[in-house]
Amino acid sequence: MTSKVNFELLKAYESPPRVSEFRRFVRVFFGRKVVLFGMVVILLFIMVAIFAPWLAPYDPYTPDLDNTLSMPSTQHLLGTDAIGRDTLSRLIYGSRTSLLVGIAAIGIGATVGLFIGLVAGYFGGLYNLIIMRFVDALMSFPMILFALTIAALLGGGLTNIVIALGVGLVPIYARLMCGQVISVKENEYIVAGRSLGCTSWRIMLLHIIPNCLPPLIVMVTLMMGSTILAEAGLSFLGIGISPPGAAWGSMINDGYQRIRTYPLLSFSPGIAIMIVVFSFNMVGDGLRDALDPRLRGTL
Amino acid sequence: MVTFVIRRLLLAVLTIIFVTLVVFFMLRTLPGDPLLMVLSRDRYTSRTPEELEILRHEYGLDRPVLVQYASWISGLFRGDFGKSTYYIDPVNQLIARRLPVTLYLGLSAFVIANLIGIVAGTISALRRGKKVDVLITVLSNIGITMPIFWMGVMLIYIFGFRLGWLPTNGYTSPFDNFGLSIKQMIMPVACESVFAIGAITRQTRSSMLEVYRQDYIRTAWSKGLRERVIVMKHLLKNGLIPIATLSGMQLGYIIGGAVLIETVFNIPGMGRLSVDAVRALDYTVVEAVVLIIAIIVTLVNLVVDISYGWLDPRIRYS
Repeated sequence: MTSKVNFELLKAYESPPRVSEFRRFVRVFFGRKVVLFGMVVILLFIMVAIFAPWLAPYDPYTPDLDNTLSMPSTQHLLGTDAIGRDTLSRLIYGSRTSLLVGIAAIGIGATVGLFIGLVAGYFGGLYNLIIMRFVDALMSFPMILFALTIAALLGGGLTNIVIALGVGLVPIYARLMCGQVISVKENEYIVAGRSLGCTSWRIMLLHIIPNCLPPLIVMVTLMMGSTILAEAGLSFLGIGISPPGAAWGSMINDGYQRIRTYPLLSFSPGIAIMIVVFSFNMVGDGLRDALDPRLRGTL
Repeated sequence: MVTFVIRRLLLAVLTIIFVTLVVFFMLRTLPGDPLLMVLSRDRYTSRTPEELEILRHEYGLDRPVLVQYASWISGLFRGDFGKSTYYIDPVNQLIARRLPVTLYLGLSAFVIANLIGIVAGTISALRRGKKVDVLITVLSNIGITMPIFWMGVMLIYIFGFRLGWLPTNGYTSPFDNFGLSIKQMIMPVACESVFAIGAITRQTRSSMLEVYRQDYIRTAWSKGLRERVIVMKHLLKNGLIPIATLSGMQLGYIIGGAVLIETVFNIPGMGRLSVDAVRALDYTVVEAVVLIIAIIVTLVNLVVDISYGWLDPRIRYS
């Protein structure tokens, strides 16, 4: 029985052509119109926040008692509020509050969560049990209630809102990171590192963290929307930026106070929140699909 | 299965112990003196430091923190949540009056969200790329981006003031006046459920599409089974696990959202109570509210965990 090599059959067993991970990322990520739309909106949002003083047609804090609660006009494109402040200008300045709180709170939450999850996942055992029960406990508080409590005890103000939301975000990142670390540390390069005599910290910082980052980056983008929503909720409740500062949530509350006569005040900040949150969600979804190795081949 | 359930139960108990620790010590270590609020309630503007100390002693706030914790815990076991520093009524009575309101609205929103979400998500997946799919996808994305309190404000304006169809605020027990109760519930429940509807729809759609690619679904089609049988027996049953996880999380979000919605619609539930108590620095009430909500969320997660074992026998043994 002489066996002849069947080349045709062998070809079928060859692995598919290697696609550069970066190229696949670009193709999947930028392939969707809605993700592109999201990117554009996020860039605009950041620009508006940075250049607010130049873009706003009026000072957002100066009252104009001759022009209170005016309807949209060529002078005031979105009308004015109860003490005559220009709604469009306050909307533009409000973007600063949302962006600042979003970035700072997620910065705190993701950094602290990353290290807590790293320790729990890497050392495992009792560390894992205690830290993860603690994380579960924190996760069982609705974020807004948790932030409300912390913010009320620390007092209002932007810094305290950032701390409150940041602490509320920690468990989400800690849990995600812990799961990632547990799967990454089984890789051979970790064993190799250890047998070469690397210290635990060296392995964790140089080998584990970089390999756990992609899902974390996705979660940073995805949580941006939720954090902006939570900040809006807190400032709607009157806990957050102190008057006369502008925040979208407190602007909605201004309109809610005058809902019978002038609900227009609430309308535009709500739309602004929706557009920004939608954009972060879409970009987050796009990143997730583009970075997910399990979808390789299908996307 | 029994060991699986017992293990999960023990973990849940451990979580609740951590919850009590977090709640209690977070409130004690942060600045803010609840007694100042007692004073403002009593309208005593000038109390001497000695009188303040007497008051502190009366509320047990002069004892070491650990002793306070121990007495709080032992009170909990007797069903006693302690003495409010702001409200005249005992905390137990406050909770007993307000918890049913929040649960009634929250559970209604939860059930509605699951029904609509799973049905819409399944339709969307089965009609992938069609107009229905596009419409459902757009609507579910709006659902997860809309600030619910803004939706509340807009609904109040449109249906309450412009059209005059629904009452703009308040709560009536369904046992007192069923018609009015339902009318008052429509808008708050819509607001509380909208995020969950969007989230569950999205999860159902993607999880159904995932299952749809499997070989056994192709086999089922080629056997000539009807679409209804395939969807109900093969697709839904296999796609349910990720949906169950997400759905369990939604109940927590819904109750968290009640903080905002009960404020917008002026509903006397736990959400409003927590906002008022937080503003009044009323530790005992905040502790009770947060603890009860956290316990509810933990129990729901426990049920979800156990239901995994039931939905997918493979999980029980891992």
